[in-house]
Amino acid sequence: MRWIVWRILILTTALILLAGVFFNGPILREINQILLSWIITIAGVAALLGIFNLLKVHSGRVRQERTDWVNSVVLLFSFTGIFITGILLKPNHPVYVSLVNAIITPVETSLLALLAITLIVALIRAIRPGINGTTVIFITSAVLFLWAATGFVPFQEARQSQLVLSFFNTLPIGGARGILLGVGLGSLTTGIRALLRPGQKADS
Amino acid sequence: MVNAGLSLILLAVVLILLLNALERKKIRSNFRIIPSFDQLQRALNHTIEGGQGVQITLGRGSILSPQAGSTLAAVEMLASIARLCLNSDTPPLATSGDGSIALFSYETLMNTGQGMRSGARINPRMAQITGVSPFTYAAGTMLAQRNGKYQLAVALGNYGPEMGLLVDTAERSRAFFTGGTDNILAQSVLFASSRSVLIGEEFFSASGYIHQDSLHNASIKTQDILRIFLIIVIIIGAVLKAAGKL
Repeated sequence: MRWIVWRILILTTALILLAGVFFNGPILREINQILLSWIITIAGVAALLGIFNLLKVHSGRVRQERTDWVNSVVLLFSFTGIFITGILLKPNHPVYVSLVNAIITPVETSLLALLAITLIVALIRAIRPGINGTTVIFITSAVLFLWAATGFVPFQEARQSQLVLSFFNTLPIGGARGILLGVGLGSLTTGIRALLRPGQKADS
Repeated sequence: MVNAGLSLILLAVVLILLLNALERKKIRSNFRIIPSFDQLQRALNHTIEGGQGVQITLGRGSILSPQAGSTLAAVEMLASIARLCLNSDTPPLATSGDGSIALFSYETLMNTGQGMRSGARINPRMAQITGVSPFTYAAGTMLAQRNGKYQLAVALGNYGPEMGLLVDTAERSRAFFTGGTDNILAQSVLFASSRSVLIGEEFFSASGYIHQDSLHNASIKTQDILRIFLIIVIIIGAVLKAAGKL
């Protein structure tokens, strides 16, 4: 019985929010605002619980002296430091902002640099015996577009070259749009599936 | 434009309900073969039989954002995989980069565990949030992957290019990696770095391939019907535009 009540509640909320996207009425807008503010509050509490979960997991790793437990100690110390500074100075304080940026920006930039190297290694690793046709096309197009991006394309001012270049330019745009359409359809059917089966117990 | 969007949603709902009613008596549908799913199924069997763990990474697409669809698909996949490996020697680990997804994944593991006849012990450490910004999330997940207990890493949901780092960590730990995302940039990184990739809408049907039921089958078929419909509309539109009628 309780299951049916939840289902009706979820469906009604979803329909009201969906109606707010397509129709514009003052009452509907008001209801949507209230529902959205509730959802944002719940999401905020969820984020807080997520942070507690993160701290619990890492303090557990330190207690049990698991592999790389020193990293967890660094995380716990930096979190406590940043948290206390944030409480004392407020998040918009220039000292606090520069403190956070001094940690986050170099770390993220280093990881981005690591990613660039990882991708180069992955591309080299992809050239191996038994390579399939799709990978050949991918590597060829990656090399071609990298070359085109340098600007050193012979006779690029010629009309024929322009035609060929514009044709090659439309290929990735078409591919990306095709993938995005697929993703859109996938999101739509997944959302409907979730609404038609909210909170259903798993069958083993 | 609004009517076109609403019509598409209504059409999808009607098709799913109709096909679900028709599919109810069918036990198994014949879907097209996607090599990544075959590889995933083999890796899953191998991992569970070997008593190793599965790490499922659910991305950072908040439930309140337009990327919620990919998160829902990832959570469905978590439920499908958890059904198979909750009672394994090494319990599965679900990592995410958003508080609401972490709660959602814990709830999913709880529901799946309660639904199993044999019962399964779920603890909050099985659903972890490993970071809240794109790269800290990737770094936290890499740390969890390096554990050595996880021989299968599945990454589904919303990511950025940092997904390449997850693939690299899995390869270094000699774990099998499969992934799918709704982000074009992350998808190209994934294609370059991983051997098992779910492209475009494939990952939305992932859980349907692992655990088939009538609603999943109906939604995958609806997806295919709508795609064919859109292809026809695009071709007609292109022809009309070329003829100067649009």
